[in-house]
Amino acid sequence: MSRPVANVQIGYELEIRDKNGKVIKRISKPSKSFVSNFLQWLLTGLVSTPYTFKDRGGTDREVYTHIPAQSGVDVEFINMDVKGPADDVNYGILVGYGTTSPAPGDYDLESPAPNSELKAYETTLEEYGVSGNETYATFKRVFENVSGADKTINELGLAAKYYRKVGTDERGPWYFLLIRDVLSTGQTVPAGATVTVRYKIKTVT
Amino acid sequence: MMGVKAYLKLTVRDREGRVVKHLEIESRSFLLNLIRVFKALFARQHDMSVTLPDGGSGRFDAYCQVGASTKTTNWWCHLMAPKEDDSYGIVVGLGTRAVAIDDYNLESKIPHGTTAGKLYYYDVKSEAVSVEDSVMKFKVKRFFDEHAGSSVNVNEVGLIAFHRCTDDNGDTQIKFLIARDVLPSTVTVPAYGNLMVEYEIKCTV
Repeated sequence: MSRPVANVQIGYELEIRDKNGKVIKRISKPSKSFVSNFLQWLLTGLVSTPYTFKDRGGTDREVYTHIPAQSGVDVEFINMDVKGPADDVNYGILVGYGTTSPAPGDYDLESPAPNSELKAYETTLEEYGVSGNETYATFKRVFENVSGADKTINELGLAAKYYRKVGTDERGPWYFLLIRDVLSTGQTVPAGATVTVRYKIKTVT
Repeated sequence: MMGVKAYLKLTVRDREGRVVKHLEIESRSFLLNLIRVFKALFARQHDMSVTLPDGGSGRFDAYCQVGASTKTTNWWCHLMAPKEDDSYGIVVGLGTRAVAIDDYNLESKIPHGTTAGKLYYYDVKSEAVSVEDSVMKFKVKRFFDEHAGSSVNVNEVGLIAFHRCTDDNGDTQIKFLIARDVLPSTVTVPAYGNLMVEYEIKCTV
């Protein structure tokens, strides 16, 4: 009954285009590296109990992924949103320069690329669907090398924004790393070029 | 491939408490409904449609609206069913039909009860996330008793989530299947015996 693949899989793709829009590199690999925050978040949602996560700054944060019954209070709740807007590299798909192997306790990229070097566009939900025995959702973000020099990407990640306000109890916004991957070979993004990063999450039945 | 894997363990004990059967398999079967949940959460979606156990459609609302000021509740995928409630949490059934990605119910759920052909459902329990070297995992489990003095066959196991969102838009309470597994062979719970079903969710970096 056992089989060689995970039931919930994630993969990434990088596509580098030169400043004229010509594709100069494309790689696609299975992601290896949900970090422990992802599993904590999943469990928190399944059992509706708060847990403590490390945010991207390394600070412990008590996170509720549910709201118990309330009455007569204002509520705002953003539960792990990955659609980071343009120029906001606190969350969404991230890229960086670090080369240290991923570990379960990673809470940030080793060396995130600043927006002043690799300018981030919005993280979007590009595709969602069912194909055979797979169902999937693909998130995408484009980065433009505006640094004036070639830059080499070695690591990728996916981070989420959390914010919860119930009456006077305000938590966040906080940002949590859910996935981190280190590339087997660094990928150079020439000055003026773009790199498109996609994360595809799928279940295989 | 890495990713999220689920393992299913079943242990049957006779009326004297002796283990008469122990089965461990790799779960095959997170379903389309689970990716719908991920999509709704990561993409900040209010009106994701999931398929309910009766085949109808339900609204999964991942986020609470700003200023939802009357009554508010939000559980996204609550599995922690109380005892005697067979409508969500870990459930077991008689069905043998192969799993399909768009399954929305067990083929033939064994109801809670103390008469012949039924099982007494205890509350769902969970264990916190543990991290050991590169492996992270957590568990949810449920016990079932046979009370009528006649054996009960189990062929399928599933996870049904309870989603509730109450805000100014109304009160949505839905339950939907997120995982289903068909066992490689029938597991018989003997008269006055006990069954333990455990899902272990695991990631490896």
